[in-house]
Amino acid sequence: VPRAVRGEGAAVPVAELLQGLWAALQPEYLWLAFAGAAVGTAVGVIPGLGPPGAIAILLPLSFQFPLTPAIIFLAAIYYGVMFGGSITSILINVPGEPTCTVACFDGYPLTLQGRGGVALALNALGSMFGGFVGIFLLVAIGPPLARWALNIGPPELFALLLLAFLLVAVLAGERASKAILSALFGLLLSLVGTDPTIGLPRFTFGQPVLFDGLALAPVFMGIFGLSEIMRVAEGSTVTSARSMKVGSFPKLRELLPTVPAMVRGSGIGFVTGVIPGMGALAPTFLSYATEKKLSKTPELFGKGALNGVAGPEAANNSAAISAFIPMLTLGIPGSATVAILMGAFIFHGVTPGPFLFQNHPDIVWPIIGSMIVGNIALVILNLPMVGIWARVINIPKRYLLSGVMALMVVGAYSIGNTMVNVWVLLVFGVVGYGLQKADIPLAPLALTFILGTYAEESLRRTLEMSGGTYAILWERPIPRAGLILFAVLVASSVVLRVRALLVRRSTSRNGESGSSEQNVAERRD
Amino acid sequence: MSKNRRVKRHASRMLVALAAFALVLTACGGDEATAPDEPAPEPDAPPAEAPDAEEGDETDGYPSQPITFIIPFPAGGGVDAQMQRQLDVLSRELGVPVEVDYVPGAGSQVGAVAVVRSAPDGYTIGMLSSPHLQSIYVNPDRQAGFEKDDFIPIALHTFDPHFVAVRADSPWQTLEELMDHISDNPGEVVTASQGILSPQHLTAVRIGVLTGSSLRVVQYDGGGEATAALLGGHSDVNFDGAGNIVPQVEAGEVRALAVLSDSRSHRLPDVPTAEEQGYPIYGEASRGYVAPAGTPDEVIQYIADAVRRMTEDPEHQESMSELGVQIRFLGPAEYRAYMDDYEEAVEAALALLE
Repeated sequence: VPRAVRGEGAAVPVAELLQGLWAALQPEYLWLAFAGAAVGTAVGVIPGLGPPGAIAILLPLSFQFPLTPAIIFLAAIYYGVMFGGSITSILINVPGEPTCTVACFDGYPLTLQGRGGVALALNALGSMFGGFVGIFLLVAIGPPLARWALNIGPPELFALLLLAFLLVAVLAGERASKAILSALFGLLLSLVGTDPTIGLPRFTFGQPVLFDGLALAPVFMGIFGLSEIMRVAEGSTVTSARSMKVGSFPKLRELLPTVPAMVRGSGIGFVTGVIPGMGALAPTFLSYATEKKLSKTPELFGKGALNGVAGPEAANNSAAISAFIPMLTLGIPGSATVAILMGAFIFHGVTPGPFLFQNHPDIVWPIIGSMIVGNIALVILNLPMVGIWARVINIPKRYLLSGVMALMVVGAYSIGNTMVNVWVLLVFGVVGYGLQKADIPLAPLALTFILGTYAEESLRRTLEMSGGTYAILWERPIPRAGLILFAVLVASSVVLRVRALLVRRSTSRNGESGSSEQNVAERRD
Repeated sequence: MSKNRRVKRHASRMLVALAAFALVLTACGGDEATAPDEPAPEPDAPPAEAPDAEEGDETDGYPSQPITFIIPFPAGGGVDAQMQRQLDVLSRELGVPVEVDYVPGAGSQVGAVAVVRSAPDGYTIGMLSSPHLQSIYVNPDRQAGFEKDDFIPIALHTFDPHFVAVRADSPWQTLEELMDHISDNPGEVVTASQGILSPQHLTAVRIGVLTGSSLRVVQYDGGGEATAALLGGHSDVNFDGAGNIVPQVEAGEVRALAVLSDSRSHRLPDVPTAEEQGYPIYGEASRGYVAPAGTPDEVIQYIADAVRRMTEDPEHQESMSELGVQIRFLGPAEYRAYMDDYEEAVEAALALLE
């Protein structure tokens, strides 16, 4: 067994990396990385057509090339899409991909303030930063980390997800009760589909397409994108977009404070990307919540906080890179997109597995080298484009919004080629509009909808493993630590709340203010 | 209807066109769509050896247009890899171009329904897997909306025999040791399955019957997750095909105790069959072709003959072997019998589970 796979003496193989980088810089590979990044960005901008769909459609095209250039092309598309999906999130609040939903939270408010260029530039720089950190960590600690991540079985995953649910509290807006309502609604949506253990369809209206659960893309396009289009149409969203200066780049003194957010985001993205079954969606939310929690000005989040854009973007691309690790080192695809890339390997007669690095260094290292090239290509291609993208929103609303709506409908249809997803899009557009009217925050819904499916699956698998007893969560060290941490966090926040409440009560009684309940309500925010 | 399908494909192509900058697409996309089909009707090649004049009359000019194959999985999976590799030879033997339509969802159920509901004119054919197909319509929970009489088996093409695989550090050296342990410790040994009534699940049930005991079945989403569970110690034994097992065996991570077929696998020739070790356990996933009910017999026979000729092509055999699947051709009648066997197995398993 290769040393690197065993995780012993994981020195950074600098020579191989440089050779791979040199190979990737040769014209025949270089143009593919650029072409892939460009195609990926363009595909990302189209709502609904996500990385797996885009790569699957372009897969036959890559069969014309030998394996290495084919993977370089497809991989560049992959992180191009991850990047491009955020462009529409930022400009028109339509997540180009479900993974880019978080970019709506602060990117779109920045656009409304006429600072869309800043958000787009941060998107590009954050993506590149996250990509670089991801590549560095892949080379440095990828194999042992992938091996360690195998320890994350269903009970461990469930405990981690349980902790992630606490983020609802961080993402909550003005009122805790409304955030909880939103979170419960998201959980409810995650129940649609086939019961993972006994196979009974739930809330599927007899539509086999829904047996796999509600597709994320039409739901998110609906609640975030379509609902916002309705609000713009009725005039509730006022933009100062006209004041946007073309090429309004962030200033250096604005950029520097976002670097720590990018570092944290990259780390979060990298680790979650390696864990099998964690998916590509969790990292952005985890990073966003982390930034909000650590921020000295959490009240700015949701209103155009720069760290709320930079961190999640870095997490997004870092996770996209680290999702390759289980495939390259163990032959296990870490995400749906990587599974398709693995199909391309197999099509060319190379089965990824523990021997890939040893037997095919001529394939692996140029691919890793091309990741560096591809991430630079993204920035080279897109920084000059910021001004052009930013002008897109100056297109008269009646053309822009109807065009976007048409794209969303086609995009929703393209997911599984079925009208069902178009209806899902439209219904959730109305639902999102209603929720916004009722002042219910959407972020907790998005979080629990994503995590709910994983949490249920992992809990059900845990119980299948244990024969139905919950004791398994206590018997294993990681879940036990998770449960203890969960209990401590919940208890401490309850204690803090109660104490704040009591303090408030006593001071208001002493201060004869009388309106203590009102104060408490304010405090709760 | 195939007409609808084509429209759908156009929708997704339109998206790509928008996406991939018209330039890139017109340059390469056109090739992609037609390239595999183009070389098909070469004047000097098959038509001479293909259908007899007699057959040609009976089928009334069939086939006169491209034939669409429905793949019930997303593009890029194992079934798709097989289809992409055989496009050329398949269209050569059929004498017309082959189009591929992906209708994924609900563990191939959405695609199976699309096949059953398409026009029985021989221009829409499904590439479906067993026993997955049987699990759909035998299990009432799946609300399939079709039965076995709603489609006609054309031909079995490839199969992927499953291995019994344990971690290299596990105590069991032979199938017998594993079976004895299961028999003595009901419900203790954990297996990572890949869906309700999946081939993995059927094998687990079968072992339960043979040992008079039971396995603890944990359902995962596909082979990647299941293999990760085995390597990570969350599953004690997996039943899976060469694609997932062989690389791990070669890496020394996993030990294969048996192959669940009537003959050994060329991929791991040292691994004995379960039969050799005294256990009649058979488990595999297979791929074949089915048409909607009402498709004329002549058309069924025409396609079956084309598939048979394809399987006799040494280059094609080599290509399939590289993919890790084995060729086993069965004509319409034998394929029906094969499916009936699986139907019984699924029914029996279902009865046991309830």
